[in-house]
Amino acid sequence: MATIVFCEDDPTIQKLIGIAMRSTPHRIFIAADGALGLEMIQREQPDLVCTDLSMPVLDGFQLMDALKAEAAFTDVPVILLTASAQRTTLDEGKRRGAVMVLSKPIGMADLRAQVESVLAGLLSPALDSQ
Amino acid sequence: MCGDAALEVGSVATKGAAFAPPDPNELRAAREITKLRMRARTLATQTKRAEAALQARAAELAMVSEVAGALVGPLLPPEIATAFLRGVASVLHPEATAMFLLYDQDRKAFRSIAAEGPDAGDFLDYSIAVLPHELHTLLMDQREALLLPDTTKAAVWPDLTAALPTLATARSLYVVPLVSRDRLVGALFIRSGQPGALDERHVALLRLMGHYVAGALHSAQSVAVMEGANAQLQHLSKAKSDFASIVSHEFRTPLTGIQGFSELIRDEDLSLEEIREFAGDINKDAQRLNRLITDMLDLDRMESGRMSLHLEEVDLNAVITEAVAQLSPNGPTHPMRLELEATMAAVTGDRDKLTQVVTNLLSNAVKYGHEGSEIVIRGHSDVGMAHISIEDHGVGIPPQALDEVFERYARLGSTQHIQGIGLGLPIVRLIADLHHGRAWAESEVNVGSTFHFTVPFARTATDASLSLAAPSGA
Repeated sequence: MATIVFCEDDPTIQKLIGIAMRSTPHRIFIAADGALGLEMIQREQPDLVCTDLSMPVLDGFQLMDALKAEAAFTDVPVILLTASAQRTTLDEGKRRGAVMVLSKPIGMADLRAQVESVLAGLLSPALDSQ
Repeated sequence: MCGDAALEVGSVATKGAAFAPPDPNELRAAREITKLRMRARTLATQTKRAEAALQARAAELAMVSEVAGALVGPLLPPEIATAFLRGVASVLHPEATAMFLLYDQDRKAFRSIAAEGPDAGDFLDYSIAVLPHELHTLLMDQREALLLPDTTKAAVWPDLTAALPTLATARSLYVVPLVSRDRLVGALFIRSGQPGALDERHVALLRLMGHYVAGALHSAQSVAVMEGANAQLQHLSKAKSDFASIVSHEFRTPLTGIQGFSELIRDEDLSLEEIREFAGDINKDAQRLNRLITDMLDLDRMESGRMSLHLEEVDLNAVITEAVAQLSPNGPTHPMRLELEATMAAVTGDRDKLTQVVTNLLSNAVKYGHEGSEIVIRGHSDVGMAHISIEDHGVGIPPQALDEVFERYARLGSTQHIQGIGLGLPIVRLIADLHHGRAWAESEVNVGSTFHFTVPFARTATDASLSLAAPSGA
């Protein structure tokens, strides 16, 4: 069982993530923006963070930078979820250290599978970062 | 010494004249000497003149080559003008001042872009909005130069100085038109406190050089215009592609909901209640997509002037109250306070479009207001206008983006973190414009924003009856 923090500002997608992840054994936390997400991460010490890119207050990139700056969270893997289709955004996500960049729209079965693959990678060193 | 000797010889000769006739050979020789002397003097004078003329030609050639040299390479109009004036100064009286005025086609005015000479300082910010009649005819119509080597003897001088008092102290004035491709590009003004500041021989030369300079200026201006247009096109092209990416971003979010919830219904064992609920979520996202498409089409129609308003008298208070009632079930976490002037008169407008303005502003306030924070809707009469404002307490907008949020293509950079496609605000502004009103925003980051719009009041019943009564009364 792993602890996962999701950061997502869209209420519909928050709800969707909650429902999609309830069939997994993991502890799931959902924050409505990057700043709330950062607080939640500091409190819950998750094994994985899955964040949207475009969010108020603190966006996905800023959240990743904040995690990099805190020694305790430098190694927490981050999945970046974005509705942007621009190649530059996807590349930027990788450059900032996301282990995986996923494009919206994404099916929930697919999201679950990707989350599991990253969690499995944490156990084996051969991490496929897509 | 030599003169004394000659005198002595002469007196001897005079003395001798009474006794012996002068030697004709000597006389001939003396005449030849005198002739040769005179010739030598003439030659010397001619040589001096030729030397002076050659020096003048050399100066002119130097000026031509200096100006021509300066025109090679990409230059800005003031640089071209300065290079020309430096050349001109070399053939001018040292007390003369030359200035280069550029003709602004749009403003129909001459504006000084460079000046050289002792009074150059007076002409750096010099401009002439209206040319005196004589000068206008000469320059604009005939493209001829005005040559006043002595202004005290010029009949036009009083009229000219009345119109251009800065030139009043001039004792000589020369104005040479600069024409390129049959277009007046500007004019060269030469003014001096002395008469005859310019050798009239040089006028033709200045005209010729002026012709080339005008051509160079024309090219420089064309290049500048083209570069400007090019930069604008690039900006527009980038804005359009950014807009396309923002639009696709906005479509993908509801699509994620539709895809996700339909997948859940298809793949999971759900209760009937859950299925109903998720179908409702799918429906909400489908409506969101529909609104997006409608907004985009509306914007297009308004921007291209294809949107017509169905004008009637509209009670804005009623429009606001209805919009708030419609929205309240969706925004229960935001208490809404209405401060509406009960006696506010009706406006002339399109009820549906004005409802859209209020709805867009309200849903923005809900979206960006902190959870549980109050939204205040105010309405009051301004001079001839109904003034509505909607205040939220939330993330706010940085000052540099206050106007940008109303721009369709400009919602980039500083406003990128504010999610939502932001077609709502461009629509608000366009509808306000169509109503001859205004829409604007005030905001403080992390405090909140207030959006304002105004719509002119309908002509009151009294106005209408007055205008109806007028013809019968007359």
